[in-house]
Amino acid sequence: MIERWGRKRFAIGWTMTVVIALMAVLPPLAAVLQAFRAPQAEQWSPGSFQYVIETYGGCLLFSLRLAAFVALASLVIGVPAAYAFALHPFRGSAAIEQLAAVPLALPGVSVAIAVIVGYAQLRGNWLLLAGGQMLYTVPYAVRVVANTLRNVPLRTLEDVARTLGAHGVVRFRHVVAPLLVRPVVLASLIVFALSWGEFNVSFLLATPTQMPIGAALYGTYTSNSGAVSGAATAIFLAGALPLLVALQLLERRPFDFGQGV
Amino acid sequence: MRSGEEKSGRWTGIALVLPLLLFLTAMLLYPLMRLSALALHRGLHVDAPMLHALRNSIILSLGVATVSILLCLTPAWALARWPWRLKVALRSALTVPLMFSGVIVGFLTILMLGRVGLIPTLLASLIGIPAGSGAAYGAVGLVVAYLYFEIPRATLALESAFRDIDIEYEAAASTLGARPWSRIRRVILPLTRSAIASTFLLTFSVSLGSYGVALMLSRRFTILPVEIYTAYTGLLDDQRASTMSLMLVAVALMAASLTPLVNRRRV
Amino acid sequence: MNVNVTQLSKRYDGDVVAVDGVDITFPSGQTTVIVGPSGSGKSTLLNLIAGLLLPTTGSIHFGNRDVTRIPPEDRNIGFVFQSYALFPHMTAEENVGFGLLESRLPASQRAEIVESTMRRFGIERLRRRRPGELSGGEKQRVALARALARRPAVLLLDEPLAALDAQLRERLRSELKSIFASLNVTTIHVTHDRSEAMLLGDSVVVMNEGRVLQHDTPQRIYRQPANVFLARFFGDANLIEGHLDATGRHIDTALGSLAVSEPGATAGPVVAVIRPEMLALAPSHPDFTVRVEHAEFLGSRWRVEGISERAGRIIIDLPGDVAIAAGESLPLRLTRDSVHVIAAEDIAIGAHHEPDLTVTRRS
Repeated sequence: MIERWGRKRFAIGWTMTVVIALMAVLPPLAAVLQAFRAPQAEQWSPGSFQYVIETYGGCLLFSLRLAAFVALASLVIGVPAAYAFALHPFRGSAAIEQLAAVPLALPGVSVAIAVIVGYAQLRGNWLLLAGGQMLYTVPYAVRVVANTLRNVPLRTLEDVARTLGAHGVVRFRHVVAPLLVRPVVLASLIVFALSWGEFNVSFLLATPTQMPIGAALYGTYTSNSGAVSGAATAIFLAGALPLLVALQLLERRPFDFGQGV
Repeated sequence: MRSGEEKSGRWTGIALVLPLLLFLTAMLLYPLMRLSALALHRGLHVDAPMLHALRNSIILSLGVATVSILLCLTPAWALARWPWRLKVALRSALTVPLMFSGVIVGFLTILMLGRVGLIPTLLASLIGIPAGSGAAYGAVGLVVAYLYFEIPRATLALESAFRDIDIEYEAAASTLGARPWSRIRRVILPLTRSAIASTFLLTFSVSLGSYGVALMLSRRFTILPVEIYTAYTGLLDDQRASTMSLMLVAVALMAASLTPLVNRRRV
Repeated sequence: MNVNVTQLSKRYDGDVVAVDGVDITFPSGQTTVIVGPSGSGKSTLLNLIAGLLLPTTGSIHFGNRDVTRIPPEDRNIGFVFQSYALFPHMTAEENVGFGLLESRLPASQRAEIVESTMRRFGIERLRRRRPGELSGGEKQRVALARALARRPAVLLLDEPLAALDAQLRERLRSELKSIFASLNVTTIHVTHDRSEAMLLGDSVVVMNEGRVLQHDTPQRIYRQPANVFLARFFGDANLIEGHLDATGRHIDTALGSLAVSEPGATAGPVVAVIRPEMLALAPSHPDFTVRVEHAEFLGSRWRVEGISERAGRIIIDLPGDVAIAAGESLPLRLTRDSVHVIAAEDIAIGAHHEPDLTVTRRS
C-alpha cells in the first residue's frame, strides 16, 4: 500500500502531521517555561508558583472538591442508566439515551444562561455549577459504561455463572462487578478531567468565592504577568495531564473533550 | 423472556433510568423551556447587532471547520493507515489542545503572537523584523487560535473513522486496476464521506460554542457567545442574553441534526 | 439419572410457539443429540432444561426431582455455550474453577479438581491465559472443562462446535465422542449438523417447528424415517410413490412391485424411501434403467443423477471403479429385498419444508 502511495506522498503526510503535533505542544511548553521567569528579574525562579498557589489555593481546592462531587454524581446517575440502556432496554429507552447526549452538541454559554434563567432564585449556588458541568459529564459516563456493557455479553456470562451454580451475590461479586470496574474507572477519570478543565458553563455559573480553576484562569490571565499566567497554566496542566495519560493508557483511542471545554 | 425477569425487566429498566431522566428534566429541559419563555416573552426581539454576531459566528465556525478538514485529511490518513514508530507520540501530542478551554488557547495565542510574543521576538532577532507582532488581537490571531484546537480535534476524529474502514476495499480497488487518483475518487472518498461530514459538524459545533478565545483576544470581531456573555454580565440584560442563547442553541441543534443524516448514507 | 420432559411448551410474547408440547426421556448416562434446522426450537428446549428459560406449560424432572421451577444455579448442570462465554476477566484456571466457588470444599481440594480437570482436557499449560489469548479449540476445551469441573448431573451443550472451522470441528467431534463415552453423565447435545448428530448420539431427537418428529437411534432414523422430512434430513433419498396393497406387504410402484420392510400399515398411497446406495448396476437382470444426466466422481464412489422413464429423477451412488459418462443408459436393480415406506399423508409435512423434494410422480 505504501509503495503505491509513493515515498513523496509518505514524506509529505508525515511532515504535515509532525508540524501539527509540534504546533500543538510547543505553545503550552513555552507557557510553562514562562512561569519560571521571575516577574522582574531575568532569572529562573519558582516565585510565580508560590504566588499562584497563595492566591488561588482556595480555588484549586474548590476545583478538586467540585470535580470529585461531579464525578461521583455523574456515576450515580450515569451507571444505572447505562446498565438499563444496555441490558434492560424498554420502549423509549433509546430516545432517553439520545436525549442524554444532546448537551454535548449545545454551546456551554447558552446552557449556562438557561440554567441561570431557570433557577434565578438559586443564583450563586454551587449546585447549579455542578449541575451545569454534569450536563457535559453525564453523557460520557453513560456512553463509556453502556458501550462496555454492550460489547461484553453480560447476560450470557451471568447465565453461564448460573449454570455453574453461582447465586446472586457470587454472580455480582465475581462476574458483574469485575466487568464494571474498568468502564467505571474510565468514566470517573474522564468526568474528573472534564470538570477540572471546564470553562464554557463554569465561567457564567461560578461566583468569585466558588470559582473552579478552569474559569479562574481567565482572571489570572487578564490581571497578571506572563510569568504568573504561565505558572497558573502549569498548575492547571499538572492536574489534567496525569488524568489524560491514564485515559490514554486505559483507552487506546484519544479522548476529545469537545463542547466541554 | 428469562426466568424471573419476564415482567420485572421493563420496570427495572425504568427505575434505573429514572435518576437520569429527572436530572435531564431539571437541568436541561426545564431551563431550556424557561429560556425560551423568557426570550419569547413579549415577542422575539432580534436586532441587527445580534444578527451580525450570529453571522460572524457562523462564518468563523464554517471557515475554521473547512480549513481544519482540508489540513487534517492527510495527517489523519497517515496516522490511521501508515506504519511509523512515532505514531503514538504524535497522537498523544495532538490530544494536548483538546483539553484546553478557550481562555487557555487565547492566552497561548497572546504568548506566541502578542505584541511581545515569542514568534515576533524570535523573528526580530533572526531577520530583524518583528513579524506577527500583535497579530493575536486581530482576525488572524482569532482564526489561528481556533485552528490550534480544531485541527488536532479534526485529525483525531477523522483518524478514528479512517481506522474503521476496511482496508480490503482499497486493495480490491487497486487489484481491479484503479489508479491512485481514481481509487481515491471512487473508493476512498465514498467510504469516508460520512466520516468527513460528521467531523466537519463536530468541528463546527465546537467552534460555534467557544467564547474563551474571543474573550481573551478581540472584542471587535463580535461573535454570538461573547455577546451573550456581555449581555448577561455587562448589560445585566437577561432577556437579551436569553434571546441570543436561543439563537445559538437553534443553530447548534440544526448542525447536530445533520449528523445522523450524513451517517445514514454510509455504505 | 434420567431427564424427563413432559408436555413441555414455551410460548414467547407475540404467540410464537418455540417448543410445542414436547415429551422426551433422556436416558441416564447416555448422549442424546437434539438436531433440527434453525428455528426448530432445539436451543429453546435446551435452555428450558437448563432453567435459563421458564416453560409456559409442562414439567421437567431430573430423576425423581421436579426441577421445573428451580433456578439454573440449583439444578447441578453443566452448560457449554456456543460462544463458550468464557469470563473475559478470568484466567483459564479461574474459569474452570468458577463452578466450585460456592462448594464447601477446601481451597486445596478445589485447586486439585481444577488441576485434574484441566489435565484431562490437555489444557494444563493454558492455566494462566485469559480467554483473549486462547484459540477457538482451546476456548472450547476450557468451556468444557469449566462445565464438567463441578461434576454436574446433566451436561448440556448448545452447538459447541459451530464456531470452529471445518478441520478443527472434525477433530474435536471425535474427541467429544470419546469424552462423552468416558463420562457416564446424562448428556444433551444440540446441533444443526446432521453428521455430528449421527456420530455423537446414542440416540437422536429430530425437531422441527417446536415438535419432536422422531426420537430413535441414528441407524433407525436413517433406515426408517418416520416421514418425508426425516427421510430428507439425514442424507439423500429417492422417494418413490406407490400403493400399498391390502396385505400390507407389497407396494406397487413405477419401479415394479416392492416388498415392505415393516408390513402392517393400512393399504393406500405410500412413499418408498430408497437411499442412493440401495441401488446397484445390474447388466443382466435390471429392475429398471436410467439415463445419466449428471455424474460426479467422488473418489471412492460416483454420485449419479439419472432420469428414469417410469419414475423420473433418481439419485444413485455407485462404486468408484467403473466408468460412467453423461448420456449413458444404466441398468439398475434394488439391492435390498424390502423397502421402508411412509404413509402418503406425511408427504405434506416434508414437502412443506423442502420444496425441491425428489418426489417422483407417475405420469
